[in-house]
Amino acid sequence: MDLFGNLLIGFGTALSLQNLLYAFAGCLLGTLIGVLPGLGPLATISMLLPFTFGLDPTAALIMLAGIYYGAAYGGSTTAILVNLPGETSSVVTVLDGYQMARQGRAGVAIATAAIGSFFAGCVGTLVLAAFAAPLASVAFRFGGAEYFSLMVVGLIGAVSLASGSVLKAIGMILIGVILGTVGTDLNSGVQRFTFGTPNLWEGIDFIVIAVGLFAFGEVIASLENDASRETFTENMGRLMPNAEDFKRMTPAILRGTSIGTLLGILPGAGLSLSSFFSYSLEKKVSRFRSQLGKGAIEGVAGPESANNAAAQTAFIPTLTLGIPGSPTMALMLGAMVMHNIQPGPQVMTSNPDLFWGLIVSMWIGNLILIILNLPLVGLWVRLLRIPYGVLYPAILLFCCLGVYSVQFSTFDLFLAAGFGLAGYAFRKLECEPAPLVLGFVLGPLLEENFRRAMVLSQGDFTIFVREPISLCFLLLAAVLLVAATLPKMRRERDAILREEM
Amino acid sequence: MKRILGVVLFACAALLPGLAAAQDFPSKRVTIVIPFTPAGSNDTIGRYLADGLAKLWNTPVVVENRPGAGSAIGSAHVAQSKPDGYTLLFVSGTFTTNAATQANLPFDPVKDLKPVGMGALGQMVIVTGSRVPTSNLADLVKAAKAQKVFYGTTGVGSSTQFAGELLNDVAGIKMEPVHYKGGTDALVDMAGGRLDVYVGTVTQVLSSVASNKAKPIAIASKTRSKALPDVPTVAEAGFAGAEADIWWGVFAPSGTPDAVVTKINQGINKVMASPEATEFLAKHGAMPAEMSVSEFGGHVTKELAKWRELAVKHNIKAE
Repeated sequence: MDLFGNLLIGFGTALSLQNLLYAFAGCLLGTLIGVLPGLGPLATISMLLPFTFGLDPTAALIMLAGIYYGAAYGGSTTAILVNLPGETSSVVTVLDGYQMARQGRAGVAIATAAIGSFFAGCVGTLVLAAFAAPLASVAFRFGGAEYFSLMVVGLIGAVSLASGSVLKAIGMILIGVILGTVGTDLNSGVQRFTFGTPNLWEGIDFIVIAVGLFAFGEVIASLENDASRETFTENMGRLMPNAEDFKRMTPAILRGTSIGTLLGILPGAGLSLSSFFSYSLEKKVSRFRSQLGKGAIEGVAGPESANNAAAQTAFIPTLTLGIPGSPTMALMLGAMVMHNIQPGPQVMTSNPDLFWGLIVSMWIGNLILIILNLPLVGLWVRLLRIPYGVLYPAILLFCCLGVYSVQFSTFDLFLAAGFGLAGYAFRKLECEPAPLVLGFVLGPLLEENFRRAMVLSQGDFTIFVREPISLCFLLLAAVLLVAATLPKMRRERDAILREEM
Repeated sequence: MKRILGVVLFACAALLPGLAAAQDFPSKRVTIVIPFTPAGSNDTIGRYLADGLAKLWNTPVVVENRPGAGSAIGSAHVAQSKPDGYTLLFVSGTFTTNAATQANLPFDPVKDLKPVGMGALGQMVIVTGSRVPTSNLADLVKAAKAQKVFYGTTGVGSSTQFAGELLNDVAGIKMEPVHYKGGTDALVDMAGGRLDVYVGTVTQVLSSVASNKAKPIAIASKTRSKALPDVPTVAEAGFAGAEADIWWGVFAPSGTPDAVVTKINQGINKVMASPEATEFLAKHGAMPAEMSVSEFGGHVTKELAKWRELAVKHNIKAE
C-alpha cells in the first residue's frame, strides 16, 4: 500500500477546520475529565456518545478519540500530583510519579509523561498507518492457548509490581482473581459469589473496584491525617527535564513504546497490560531499577509511553477487524456502528477518508495534547489547587457520577463504598492494591481462555506447549519465576526493601 | 328487568375507568425501560421507537436504561411498576431464552409481564470457518456426523447457543458449544481456524463474510436476508425448523388494562411500519414485523415453550 498517499488523504481530512476543531474539543474535554479524578474516558465517552449522533461520522470519531487519549494524558497529571489514578494505566504512574512530586520534581514528571506519550503516540500512529493491514493478521494467531500463556506471564509479572512483601503481593493478586470470578461463569452458567443478588450476576465492574480502592480509599485515608496528605500543586519545580533526565528517560521511553505498540495490537488485553508490563520490564532491565518506586524517572517514562503507544495501536484491531481491545474501544466501535460504518478490514477501502483521517487526527491530537499539557499545565493544576474541603467532596461526587454512569446502578455505588473501606484497610496493612487490580483484570481472562483452549483441544493439555507462541510465553513466565526466586535477586530485593524501611 | 338493567349499568360503570383510561392514554410522560446499557442494538431500536411514539402521541416518551443481570434487573423493575401503561419494557428475545435457562429470575416472565407488541425482527445466519470445508448446510451436517465440530456461543443460555442447539436438534447432530464473551471473539477464533460454526446476527457477521473470514451457509429464518441475498434459508437447505429469529418487543406490567395495551400496540405498529422505520431497521439488520396484541402474545408463548423444551432436552441451564 502507498503509505504516503494514504497519509495525504488523512491529512486532507484531518486538517479541515471542522475536524481540527472537534479534535481540539475532544482533547480539551478529555484532559479536563482526565485531570478530575474518578471520571475516566469510559464514563465520559458513554455520556457524550448520544451528543455525537448529529455529527458527521468522521468528526464524531475524531472527537471521541480525542477524549480517549486526552483523558489518558490528564490522568497522568492527577496521578503525579494527587496520587490518584483515574484508570488502570495510571495506577503504575502513581508509583514513581507521586514520589517524584514529593521530591519537588512534579513538573519534570509531568513533562516526562507528556514527552514519552508524545513520542509513543507518534510511533504508534506511524505503526498503525504502515502496518494496519498486516498487523491485523497477528491478532488471528492468538487463540485460547496463546492468551492463557500471556496471562500467566502477566500474573507472574504482577508480583514485581509491588514494592512490599512478595507474599502480600501474591495475596493481593489472589484476592483480585477471586473478585474477578464474581458473577455468572461464562462456561457453565453457574453463578459464583453472587450471594443471591441479581446485581452481581454480571460481575463487578472494573470502575467500581478502581474508584473504590484508589479514589475512595485515598479520600478516607486523607481524612485521618490531613497534614500528611500532599498534593504538589504549589511547588511543582521546574518543568523542563535536564540533560541527565533526558539521558535516563530515553531508553525507558523506547522500551515502553515497543511494549505498548506490540501489546496494543492484541485485542482484549493489550491496553491495560502495557503499562504494567513496561513497569515490570523497567524493574528488570533498567540501570536504575533499585530506585524504582522511589521517584525514578524511568517509572514514569516507560509506563506512560507504553500506555500511549498501546492506546494508538489498540485502534488496529478495532478499526481493521472490528474487535475492540478494551471497553473504551468497544464504545468507539459502538459509535462507528451507530454512524452506520461497519467495522472490519473493508473500512480501509470503503471509508478511506474516515480511516486515514482518524489516524492522522490521532497524531494531530497528540500534538494538541502536548500543547495543552506543557504550557497550560498550570491551568490544569489550578483545578487541583482547590482546597481539600471543596476538592474531596467534589472528587467523591465525580467518582460517584463515574461509577453510576457505567451501569446506572445504586448497588454499584454501595459496592464502591465498600471497596473504599477495603482500600483503606489495605493501606493500613501495607498491601498494595495494584496487584489486586491486575489479578482482577487477568484472572477471568486466564480462566476463560484456559477452558476454551481445553474444549477446542478436546482436553489435551499439550496444546499449551504445542502452539509456538504459547510455548514462548510459558518459557518467558518460567524465566520470570526463576529470576524472582534466585538467591541473588532475592538479596537485591531484600536490599531494596531495607532501604525502603 | 330492573335487576338486569342494574347489572348492565354496574358493568358499564366497572368498565368505564378502563375505557376512559385508554381514551386519555397517554396523559402524562411514558417511560420505556431498556434493560441494557446504552449503545447496543436493543438501545438504538428502543430509542427509535420511543421517539416515534412521542411524536405520535404528542407526549414525552423517555428511555430509561436499567441494565444488569442479562436484562433481569430492568425487567423486574417493570414487572413491579404500576400497571397503567406508563412504564413499559423494551426487551429482546433474550427475555424468552433467559426464562428458559434461569430458575431464579427476580420476576415471573409469564405472570408478571404482559406482551404488548412486536418492535422488530432480526435474522441470524449460520457461518462456517476454514476447518470444515463446506459450502452448504447439508455438507456441514455430514461433516458434523463424521468429525467433532465446534460452534461458538455468546455464553450459556444465549440466543446464539439456542440457535446452535436448535440446529443440532433439527439435523440430529452433536456440535459442541464453545463459549465466548461476545460474538466478535468467536468470529476471530473462526478467522484463525480454531472455531467451525457460529450462528450470529447478519449485521454481526457481515464484515467477516465480506473479508472471506467466515462463510455464510444458511439464513436461520423463514425468509432470505436482503444483505446476503444468495444465501438460502435453512428450510431451502433442507432443515426446516432450525429458524431462530431474534426479535425486540414491548411488555407492560400484567394488570395493565387491555384497552391501554391495544392502544400502545397500535402505536408501536404505526411507528415501526413506516418506510423510514424500515430503512432505519435495515441499517441494524432488522425489519418491521407488525403483530396484534394476541399475535405477539402467541409468539412469546410459542418461543418460551420452544426454548424451554430445548433447554431441558439439551440440558442448557444457568444456576
